[in-house]
Amino acid sequence: MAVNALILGISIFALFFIYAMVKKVRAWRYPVHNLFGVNIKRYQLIGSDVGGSTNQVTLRNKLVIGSPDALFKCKSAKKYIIGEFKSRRYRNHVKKRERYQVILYTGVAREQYRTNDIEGVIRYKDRTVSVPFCEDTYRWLLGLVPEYIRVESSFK
Amino acid sequence: MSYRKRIPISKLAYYAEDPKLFIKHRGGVVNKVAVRYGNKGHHRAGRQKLGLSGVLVLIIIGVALWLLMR
Repeated sequence: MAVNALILGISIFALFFIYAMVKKVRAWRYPVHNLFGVNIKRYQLIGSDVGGSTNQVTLRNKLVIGSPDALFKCKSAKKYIIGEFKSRRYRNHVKKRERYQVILYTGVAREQYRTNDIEGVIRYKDRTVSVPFCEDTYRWLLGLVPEYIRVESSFK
Repeated sequence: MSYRKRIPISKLAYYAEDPKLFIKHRGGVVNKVAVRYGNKGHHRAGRQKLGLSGVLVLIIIGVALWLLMR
């Protein structure tokens, strides 16, 4: 009886151990997926700028250009996830600049990949936050481009 | 209106957040230490690393294999 209980206990421990090991190996093999908490089976990493990666993706339209820290594409649907990494802690707020940056990436990606199914996320040191896209904010940001050019040219 | 070049998204976001600060620093870095910290974090994040639990797992596997082969 005691031997049976011991075998059962060891078997359960072994199963948990194998499960933890598989998770660990997956996280090690797909560090960018792991960083942004993206499903490895469902999403494919298109490009990344973190961890010394060199395969970054450039998003551009007629006015703006930029490379998000990570871009994932859903394997079964026309769906994307844009990831932006910030070294700071979340501290219960997303800075305006961070929000604008992700909205711009999302808006440009919507134009470039011709789909509205794009999610923007920010990975902070302690948590990941989703940034909802706002069409009005995106248009307002693009509307600032002429003003930006005027200001920047005044520096020279 | 024609544009000679495209604007970097990060710079436009910086300008949109605080135009006065952007103009004051001529579109440049506000806090050099923070930038250095951020770059370091960027480089460190998303790298293949085993960590303490990974090392422990490898040790346990090694010991298990050694016991089996003995």
